[in-house]
Amino acid sequence: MQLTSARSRWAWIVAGGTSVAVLTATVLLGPAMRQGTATSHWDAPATTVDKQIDATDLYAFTSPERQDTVTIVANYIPFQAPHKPYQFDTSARYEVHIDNTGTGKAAITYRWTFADKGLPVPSFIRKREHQAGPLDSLVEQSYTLTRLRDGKWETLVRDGYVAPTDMGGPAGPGYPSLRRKAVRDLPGGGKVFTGTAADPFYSDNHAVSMLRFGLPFFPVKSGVPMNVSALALQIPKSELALRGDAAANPVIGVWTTASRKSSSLLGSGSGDYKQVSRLGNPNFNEVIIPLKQRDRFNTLRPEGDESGNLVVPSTLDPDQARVVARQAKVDAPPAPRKDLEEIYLTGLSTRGDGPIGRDLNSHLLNRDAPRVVKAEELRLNMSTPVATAPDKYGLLKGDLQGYPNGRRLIDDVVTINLRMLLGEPAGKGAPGLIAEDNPAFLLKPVSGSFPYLALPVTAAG
Amino acid sequence: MNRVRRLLPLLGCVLLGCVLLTLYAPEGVLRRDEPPGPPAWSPFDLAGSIEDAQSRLRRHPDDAAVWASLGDLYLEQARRTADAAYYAKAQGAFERSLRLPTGDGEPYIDAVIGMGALANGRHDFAGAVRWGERARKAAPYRWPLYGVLTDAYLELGQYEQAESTLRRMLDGRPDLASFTRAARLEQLRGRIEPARKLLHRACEIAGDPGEYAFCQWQLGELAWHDGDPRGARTAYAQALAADPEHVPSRAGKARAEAALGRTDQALRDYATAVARSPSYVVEYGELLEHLGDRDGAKRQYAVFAAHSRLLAASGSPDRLPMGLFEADHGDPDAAVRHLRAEWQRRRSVEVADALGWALHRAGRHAEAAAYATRADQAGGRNALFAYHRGEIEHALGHAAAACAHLSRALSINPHFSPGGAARARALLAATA
Repeated sequence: MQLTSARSRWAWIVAGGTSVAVLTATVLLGPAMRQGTATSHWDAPATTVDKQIDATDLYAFTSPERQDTVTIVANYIPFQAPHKPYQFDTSARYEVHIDNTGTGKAAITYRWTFADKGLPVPSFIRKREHQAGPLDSLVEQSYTLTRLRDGKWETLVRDGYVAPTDMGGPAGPGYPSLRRKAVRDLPGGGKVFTGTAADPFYSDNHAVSMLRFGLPFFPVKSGVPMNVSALALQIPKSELALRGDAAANPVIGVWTTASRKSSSLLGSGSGDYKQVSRLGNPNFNEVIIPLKQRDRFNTLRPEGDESGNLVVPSTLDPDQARVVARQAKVDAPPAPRKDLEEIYLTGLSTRGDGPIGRDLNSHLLNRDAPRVVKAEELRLNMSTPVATAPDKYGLLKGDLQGYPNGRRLIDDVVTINLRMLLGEPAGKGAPGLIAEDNPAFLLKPVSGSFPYLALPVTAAG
Repeated sequence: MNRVRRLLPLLGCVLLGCVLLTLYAPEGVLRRDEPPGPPAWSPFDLAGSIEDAQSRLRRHPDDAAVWASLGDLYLEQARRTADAAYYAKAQGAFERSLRLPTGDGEPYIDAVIGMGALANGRHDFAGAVRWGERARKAAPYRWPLYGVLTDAYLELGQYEQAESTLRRMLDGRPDLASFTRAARLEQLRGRIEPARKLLHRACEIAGDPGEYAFCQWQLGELAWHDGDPRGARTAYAQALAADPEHVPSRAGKARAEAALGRTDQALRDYATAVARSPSYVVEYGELLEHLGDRDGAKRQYAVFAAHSRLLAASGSPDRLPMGLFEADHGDPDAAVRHLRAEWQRRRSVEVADALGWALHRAGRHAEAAAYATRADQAGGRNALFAYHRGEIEHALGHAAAACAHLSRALSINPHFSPGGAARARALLAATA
């Protein structure tokens, strides 16, 4: 009824003439009385969220309660809201690579691929999640885990159980049993966990805004506990070490990649898998690699870092060091930054030409390492004893088991990277820049056993 | 008294504005049958992010990156709300970013790319190519620039450049931005199945409701142009379930509802769509006209004319919509003028078709045929192009060719336009 009367009024007004028509348009075109855009043409977003292949954090540390094993966690799909299920890309390969020779080549690769159990329905269009019924009905994807070693692929897990998020509600109290179900033994004594967990990443806000100054702004809420999708492995050191000898060859380099299947176009073109994400040391790509080359870094392999003209020069003279130093009103050490090269590209060793002067996590420490190249990897010395009182500033506070010797869940890597960018531990740096008693801590405590990650965040906490 | 009489229309406008506000307000009468909105909490909160960026810029006004990000957020706001005021804000943010010092001493790259995306939004496609090529020179691995370039080349009718740009994009970064554009090129070449597959893959990797709505809308458009209004309606409804504010899907759904005979629903959807964006008033008017509501149609056309003047006054260079409108509902000679000017600017299949149609309406059928043929042959399976070509052949007295094109139009999509499809059927019946 109202519609009809409105339309007859409209007729009467438009008859008033052109000037009125213009006015009518401005009044009627929308509640905000605005001028519209011409959206009749194609209008696709230029930048996309693309969370599924976004590796946010990589961790590698000696398992505190099973010290003959190393735990590696690669987290993908950041910023997951509580009670919302998120899926891995079924057209992507998620991989964790181990370099135990120091050549930048993966000696071992663990690969996850995912399949949907039903029709994928993105969580953001679901009306209501089913919260009753068996917990297993929440599981939406399964995974296959394979291992590439010595040129041979071997399937370790088929039809794996991907832990869904905790939907809260009546099923909530049973959730820990589901977590236990998602932890699986691997042949050879390892374990795997795949699925949703509380994001263990935390940082000092001041350090983040310093380190990220001049870098693209994240359009997400910060300081809110959120979930991630984790790929976690616990592997015997003997499986990871060169020649299976973790005593003689204790150093490994770790990185994670995601590759997505492309598409042909107009019937031609390969449609192969393309590597679209690469992560080793935290913040390395966003802080050390110039913005213009960041997407390129995501397509590269460590074995090409030394000969390529990107990774080594960027590390020796990072633009961001100047930007951060200017903001912090301190001096960064002058280029060439051999200290950063030692930290990120070779690992610490007195046998190389790095200035830090400490044997810690370089492949040069491996007795059987053939030829060591510069390559960006998260390097872990598996023989470093587990710290009895771990310090969140790791190496910078004399805790040799902490970052950058691998990375533990409790390490405050943003502050450590900021301080290393400004010159520590080779030089004096600017250690007081971030107050050490700042209340930066894990939002949800980690547990004492694999996969250590806290259960997913729910609306209740 | 005279003054009062002169003010009456103005008063009427204000009153009507109030009525419409009541009707379309969030809890208003016309929205009752819509699905509920997305949940209030989302980590990808556009308005919240804009506030965050602004507050960061208050503290650090010399952060070129945050200015560029703010520009991108405004562009996204413009896309979602169809409110051109955000273009000016985006431009201000990008220009601010471009003036600030950066780590490498060159203009901040995302602001350069952003200026290109902004130019596309304003239909200044040649400008978009200039910004995009500048970005490609400075940062050939910054993938979003290839999206800007592909869009601009497609609108300019430079299909070979679009294709090679897109291949580079698919090679370096297969993602939603490249899959959706690849689907568009496949569709332009009449390859419906590959286009559909690409869009399904894009749907699977959509990261937020807006992206998902965009992909589903594209699936809807593909189904619609393929003569499947039922499939189209399903896809548009999916898009609206994810993002109830997605206006192109609302208009698409209206079109599909009309084709399926659900006229009342179609009118409601159109009313909702045009209340949010004036881009759909002409097709709304055409439906009203087809239903016999000539006054209603005229009102929509008046809104279109007023809106076009606003756009022209604000410097929009695109004369394609005005040309199409004049050809169908106004002065064909004016249409020819608009579209010849547009043809000088860009030679896309859409402009070729429109110019051919305008020439035909102006009585210059022989000249029209060349453009219509070009559009029809290079434009994929497009029912409207085929229909226009059929009409022109008919005017030229080529009965057999006319029949062939008109039948083809109806076989591609029997609902391509309410008036056009009826006219095609009538012509075919008359020659049978």
